[in-house]
Amino acid sequence: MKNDVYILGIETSCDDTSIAIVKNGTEVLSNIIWNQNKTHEKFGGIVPELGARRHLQVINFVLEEAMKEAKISFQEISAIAVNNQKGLIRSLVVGVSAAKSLALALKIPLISVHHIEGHIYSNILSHPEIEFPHLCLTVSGGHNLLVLINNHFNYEIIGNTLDDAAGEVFDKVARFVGLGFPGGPAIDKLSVAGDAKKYFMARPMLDQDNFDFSFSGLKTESTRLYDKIKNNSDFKLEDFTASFQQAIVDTLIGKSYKALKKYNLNSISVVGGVSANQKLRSEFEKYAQKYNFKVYFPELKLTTDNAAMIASAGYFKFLNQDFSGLDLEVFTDREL
Amino acid sequence: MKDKLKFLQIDTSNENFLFIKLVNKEVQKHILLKEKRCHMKELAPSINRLLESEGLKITDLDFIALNEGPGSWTGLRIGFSTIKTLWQVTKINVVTYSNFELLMHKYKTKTGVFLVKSSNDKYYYWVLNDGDLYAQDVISKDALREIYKEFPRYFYDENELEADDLLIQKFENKNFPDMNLAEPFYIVEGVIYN
Repeated sequence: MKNDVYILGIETSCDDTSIAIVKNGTEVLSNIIWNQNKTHEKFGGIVPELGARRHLQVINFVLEEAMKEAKISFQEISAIAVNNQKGLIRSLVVGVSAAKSLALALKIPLISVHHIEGHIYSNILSHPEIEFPHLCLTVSGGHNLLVLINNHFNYEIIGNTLDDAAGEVFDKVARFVGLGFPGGPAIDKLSVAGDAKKYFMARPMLDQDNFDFSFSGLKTESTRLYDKIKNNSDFKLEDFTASFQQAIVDTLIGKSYKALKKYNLNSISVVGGVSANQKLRSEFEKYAQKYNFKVYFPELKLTTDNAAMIASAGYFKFLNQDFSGLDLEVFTDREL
Repeated sequence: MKDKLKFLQIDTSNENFLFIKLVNKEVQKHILLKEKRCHMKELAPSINRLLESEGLKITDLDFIALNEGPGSWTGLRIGFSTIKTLWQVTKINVVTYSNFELLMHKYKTKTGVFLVKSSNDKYYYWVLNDGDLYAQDVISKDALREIYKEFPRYFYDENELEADDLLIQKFENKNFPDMNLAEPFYIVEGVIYN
């Protein structure tokens, strides 16, 4: 009889302290996320030192809650999986140190997971039926990639961020127009009532024969446009944000569809914080229906940084016995 | 009592070295790694190596003593996150000690300027006058020359790491902080240097 595998995942790459327990790779027993938005909102963005201090303040409480909710004991944990490969160094060290400590005290394996790998597996958690090869669009404040997934842990990056990721541009434009931080959800909400055709903004690099992304030009274009039109009598902020959002959504979908065609694939996962954007979801669904491909989104609670996705990726590494030593290091931006 | 105790002393407060000492009754072993920012890579394996060399488990120890700083913020957080988690899993007793306390204990004085090197030629300092805290902050090497001249000065460095008596005294007095709430001794706010 196969023994059940319980992976404890830890994710502290940015401003969320998260610990999860996942059974056999797909059953989330707990996924506790302590968000730091309140700590950082008055600064209009993440302050790395404050973030690191907050991680350390809360990590024990998050661990306790994760164990309590999962209703298991430390002795039942099979292995510890931790993101050590992308994020703010000061934040990562808190999670990785805790992970090593658990592995040391419990004498169980330690598994290293790349943050992007975690996001890719967030969709495998939500949709275990996904088959390979498969395309994955990762889109958040820190990354924007198109990844061809041939099999478990066999990736090919076919498109990358040349400058600002889409989520970062959402946040910066939102802050510029006074919507605060984090800006993505605020723009998404406000834009529902807006006219997305009111203002035209460029769809960056959509006409180019590659799958890379560049959103910094759109950021400049949109903030300049805002300054120019904000005092017009017919100006409505929701029209502006809806138009800006549409430009990003069109670019992401357009690039993804080109990649699906080129690689002759019929399914795509959209993961990362921006995958929670309702406009992106609805437009992708429409496009998928029209052009006959499948699009998968993770459950909303798995779109932002979370440890369940790290634990899920960790499970598949556990099956491969892909373990790390206690001398595991941290990397701010290691290639996937 | 001293010869019967088993404990670990962990110091990750200086970015230029890592110090771990294991006391197993009358046996004393330590690791002093003089490598810049090696704490992330070396702390956990070094603890493991020291314990294994004496055939000990974490739960065999009477307590762990953790340096709380001031010093390298990232180094301290690595120490704290590691020991807080060990405490959470094993419920091992933990005592914490500051570099200033260590200097006061070693030099048996409650009056002076107690200094710990920070980055960029600056120092964390405590000014104590007969045990009363007079001032604490970060100061440049140049500014330090000009002020508190009337007080004797004590510098924390790699020659000042041993603190057995202080640590045992804290253990015997059951001076155990709530490790859920324990944090490094930062001295300054986190937004200043960002």
